[in-house]
Amino acid sequence: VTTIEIFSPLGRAAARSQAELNPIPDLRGATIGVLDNTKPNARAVLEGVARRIAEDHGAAGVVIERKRSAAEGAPPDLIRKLSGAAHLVFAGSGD
Amino acid sequence: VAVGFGTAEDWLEVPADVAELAALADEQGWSDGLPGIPPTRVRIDAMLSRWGLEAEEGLGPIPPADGEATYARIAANAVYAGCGPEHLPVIVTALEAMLEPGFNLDGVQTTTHPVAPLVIVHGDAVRRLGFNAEAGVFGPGRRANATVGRAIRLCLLNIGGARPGHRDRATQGQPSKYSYCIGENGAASPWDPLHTRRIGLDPSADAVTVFGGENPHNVNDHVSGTATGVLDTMASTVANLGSNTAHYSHGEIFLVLGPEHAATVAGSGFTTRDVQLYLFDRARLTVGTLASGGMTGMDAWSPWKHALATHEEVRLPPANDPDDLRVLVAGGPGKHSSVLQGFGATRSVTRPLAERFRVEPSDDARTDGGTR
Repeated sequence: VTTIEIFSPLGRAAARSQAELNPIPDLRGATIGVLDNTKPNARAVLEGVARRIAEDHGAAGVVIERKRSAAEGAPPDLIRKLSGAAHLVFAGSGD
Repeated sequence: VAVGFGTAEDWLEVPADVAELAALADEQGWSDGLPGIPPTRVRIDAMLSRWGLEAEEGLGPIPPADGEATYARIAANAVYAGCGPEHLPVIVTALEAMLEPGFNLDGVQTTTHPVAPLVIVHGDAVRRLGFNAEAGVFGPGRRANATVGRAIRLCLLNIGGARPGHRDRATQGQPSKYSYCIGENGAASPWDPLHTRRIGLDPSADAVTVFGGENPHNVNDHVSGTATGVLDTMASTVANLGSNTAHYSHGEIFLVLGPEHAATVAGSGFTTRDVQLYLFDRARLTVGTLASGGMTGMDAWSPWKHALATHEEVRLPPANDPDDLRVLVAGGPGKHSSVLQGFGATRSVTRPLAERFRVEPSDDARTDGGTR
């Protein structure tokens, strides 16, 4: 087979910092965050899961914030607010 | 390995036969399913050197996969799409426009909505670069429209990583996700072109608009001889349940008038502002109708709309502002126009062709390198 050399059209992403992925070893006393993405039933599902996990693992509580719409990322101030208030956040659900 | 840019893993040894290459690209997940032109070093060099671009520089990451949009990577996709070097400025300017935060490219790429970015080319670039702005403007038959639109899609697929069913979660998608690029027919427009009205450029100045929208919805009116007649027909296509603009009040709708409809509307003395104001008033649905069609369950309405949500008889406009109904002229003879409903969670962007691509007119006829 005759071959040629081409430049790959596939993009490559820059390496991400591992610091973004710090695991949480223990949920006792932690606060669980929920980001309601406005999809139908998203809040009911996410809040229900968060409260159940909080109950089962001794978390201190649940905080909930809401985006403007499902199709837009949370603005930086909302991310700061939620990351300051919670130790982990459930940030998505599809209907 | 001929590594003048990129790393060794960026250079792929592939079959020289284009049919075999198409099968390989499909298998490896870096095509849109159609065969393409091999992005060899010679072809990429020709595209970059034409504009004096450094291979490793570029536009930064494209969401959602955040692949780096280096000029070499953009050129590789443009070559595969069938573009010549002369088309690169439109592609780069369009991608830059899509990366403005308000365009919300992350959302455009990953939503279940079928949205595709439409690229509209304005000014002298339309004729100089061979874009169709006339008969069959949204259809096939012209290299510039077909390949520039395809190059944009390939960059979104291959650099942005929006593979259907994976990061691109579109429920059905739409045909314009293969290629979606038109020229504005400034010569047949009774009004100043869009880039003049929007950002104050001379009508002849080269510019690009990007808009995240649906496929064109036809507006057929062979009868009306007045502005109000044509626009009442158009209003029915603007105001419909099921469009994202019904539950995103901060969205936009593009109104692409065919030249004959535009002449009829302008003949009644309507400016583009009059068109916007008229449709803002006429293209409305009542709160009750919107609610019956499921347009209020997960809405992203503005507070003023929510304040009216219990008033079933109130008629709500199709946008927050008449200016969000964007008017332009494209197409050829005939009594058809188009309404392009927006994705809603996106704002269109109009930009002049990037400064680094402004060249002496004598250079513009060159098309070397595109077929080697």
